[in-house]
Amino acid sequence: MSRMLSLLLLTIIVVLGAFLRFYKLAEIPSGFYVDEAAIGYNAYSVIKTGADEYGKTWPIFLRSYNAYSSPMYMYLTTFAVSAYGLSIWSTRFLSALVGSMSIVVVYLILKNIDVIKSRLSVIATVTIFTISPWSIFFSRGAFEANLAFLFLCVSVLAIFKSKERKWLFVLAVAILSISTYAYQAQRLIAVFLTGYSVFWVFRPKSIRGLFNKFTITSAIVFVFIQIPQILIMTKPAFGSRAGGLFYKDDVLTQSDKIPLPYFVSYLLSFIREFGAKFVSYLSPRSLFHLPDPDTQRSIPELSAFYSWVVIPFLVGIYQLLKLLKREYVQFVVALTIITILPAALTTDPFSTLRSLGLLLPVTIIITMGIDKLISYKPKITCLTLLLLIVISLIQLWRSYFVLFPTLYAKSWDYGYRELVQEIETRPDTKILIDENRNNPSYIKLAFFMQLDPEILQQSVDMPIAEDYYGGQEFVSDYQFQNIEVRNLVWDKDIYDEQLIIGDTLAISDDQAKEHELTKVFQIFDPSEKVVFAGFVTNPHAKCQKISFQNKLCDPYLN
Amino acid sequence: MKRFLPIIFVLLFTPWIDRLFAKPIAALLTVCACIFLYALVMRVPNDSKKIYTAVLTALFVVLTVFQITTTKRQFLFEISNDDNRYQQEKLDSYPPVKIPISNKTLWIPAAHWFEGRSEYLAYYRIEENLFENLDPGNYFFAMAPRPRTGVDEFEKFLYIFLPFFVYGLYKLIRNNWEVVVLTTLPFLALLSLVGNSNPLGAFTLLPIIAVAVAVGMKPLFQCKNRIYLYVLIVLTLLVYIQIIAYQSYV
Repeated sequence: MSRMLSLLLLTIIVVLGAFLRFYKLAEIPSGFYVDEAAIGYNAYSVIKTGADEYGKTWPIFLRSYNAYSSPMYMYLTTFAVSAYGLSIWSTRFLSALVGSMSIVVVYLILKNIDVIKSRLSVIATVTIFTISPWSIFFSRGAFEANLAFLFLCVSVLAIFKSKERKWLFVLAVAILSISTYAYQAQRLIAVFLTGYSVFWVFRPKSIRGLFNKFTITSAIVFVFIQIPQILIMTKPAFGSRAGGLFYKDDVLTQSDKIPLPYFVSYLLSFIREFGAKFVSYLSPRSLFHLPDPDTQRSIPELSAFYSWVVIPFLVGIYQLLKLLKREYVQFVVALTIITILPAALTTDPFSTLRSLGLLLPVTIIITMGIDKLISYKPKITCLTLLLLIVISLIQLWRSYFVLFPTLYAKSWDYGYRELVQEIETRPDTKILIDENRNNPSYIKLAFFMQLDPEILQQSVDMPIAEDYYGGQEFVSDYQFQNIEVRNLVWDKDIYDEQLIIGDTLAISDDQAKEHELTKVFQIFDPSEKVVFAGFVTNPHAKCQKISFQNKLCDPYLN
Repeated sequence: MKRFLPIIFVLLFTPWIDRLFAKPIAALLTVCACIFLYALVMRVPNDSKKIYTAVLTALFVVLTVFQITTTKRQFLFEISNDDNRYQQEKLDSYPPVKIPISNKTLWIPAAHWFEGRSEYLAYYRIEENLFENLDPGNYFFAMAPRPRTGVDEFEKFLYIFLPFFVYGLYKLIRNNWEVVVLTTLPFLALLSLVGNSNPLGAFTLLPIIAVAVAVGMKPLFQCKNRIYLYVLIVLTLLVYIQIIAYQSYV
């Protein structure tokens, strides 16, 4: 295949990839998840006030509802929000952009791997990557992990290139260090990948061989970039997210069952838990059949890859073992292990989000498989691939663009935009939004209302504002303008003249009848299920019903 | 006899074999199949090869019959009430799909093709059954951490055997790919069609997995430095105690 033809095909693939990532970006996923709202609104707050929702300037971790997520996506989103205004589209724009850019970087990486012989196999795999559900899904939501994935790909490319130009190793390490500000899991990946790459690039024959001008400069650059994080290492914010996700309790429970000394039983239990999760990330069932178990991170009836891709994957695994002595293959094996590590140490059985970095080594393995198949039967393989890619695009249309917006709308917090539209028609009405089952509503409301950030900053408790990284318990009660967000208190709230909003479990029709509430609106998701219902209270009628027995009825006695 | 030590070692510490003894004949046949298969891949003399192949074929045929008779058949085209409800939700999701041709409109019944046809449901079930049997977690971690709903998952092989399985399978594919193909593909296809609802698991696949583990372990048994073998034995014992403890915990 000629170079011109490769470039032409790559251009077509990039255009296809960009289309799949940008098409109806604001409408699909339907709904707007709380993490996205937090990113978008904080970017808006930084633009307007120079500080986040808590009034903190340049946070190293974005506190928002105690998530302490990595801030880089938020900072970079300020450009899109400045240019296009605060909207779903501008918040997701960066993810779609980096998702499209990663297609080119993956192509360049595959081209550099010496064990992959055929340019056609590179083009075929880049196509598979471009249309893979895993890549598309995380390119179409405001996911920090997708930004981190681009950084990972660029750093791997720089590591490969540093074999010839050693100075590029410093750049690779700098990018890896910066990537730790993009996503929390990158902290582990950056450290291990940097460590392994030193040996891979420089092949030192002794410990002394490790120390040369490039490795020393890289170490200094890495640490320098990490200074902001190092300065808050002792704060709860640094490790709260990671610590909360580790399965320590499961390991302890299992180790109690084993009639062996504690240290041995704990170690065995940990190895089994870790081993099971680790293997799950390479299992064909997880990669090619089952969707992510979390509906907020999955597409109906589609897995990380299309099911037929299992064939080149298994052939690729065989090639991996066969060519294990080759240095690029060793790198791929190491990269596979390193990218699975952060995810295998958390409770989720298979998190496509936390293991997004694995997309790169799996793509390389698939390329090796396709390369082998093409070397056997080039024409049949190419024709079959073409047909399967077309079928995959149809599957993608069905699962992502048809079923996903309807079936999983609730998982994406559908309804807040419509809710704000209802609220805005009632500027003089006191409104209470029940928070019992909804993840933090305040930030989604603030986003769609485009609430002045100073109003939200002023409603933050002083202890939280003063100890930003302290990890104090998050309280989701908020009050701004005519809106109050907290758990509904039946004993009190029905005696107040207000509009109460909740889901169908918050306020049932029987409760509405019992407490003289009048339904004034309902908001439906795309599958016609009620997500919010608004009820106006009638304290006078309620009090009459109970013969003014309650003290709260005193104002309504006359 | 010394040549067979790896396969005997594997079979001794395979919880799956213990479970199979609920049907003693099936267990004995499976053990025989493992030993004959191991002998075949370890290069028996040419004049014995035909006999081994004939015996193995007979064993696998009988095992297949046992597999089918002990499996609760899954009807690929059967739709439950829950399936019906989900199917309707999916049907309702589809927009009208049409292609304008000159001044006429060609309506595409995409919803019906994808969601209304029972063939699509059957295909999905076959795919589900196939991938369950391709999952290494099924054999080495009792399907953890993604167990199946309504299935009594149980330990089949010790997880410490997994690296040996990977290496052994690789060696088998390199040197005896026909054996691997003949002892896996037909059974994977069969199990995809009949389903995996069997309290004894997919035991027709047990021989190839056990043999792959044994092949992967063989270098340790042949190594002059016995320390590696002793470490393997100790670790296997510890893990075996762990797995038995998990199984017997109430």
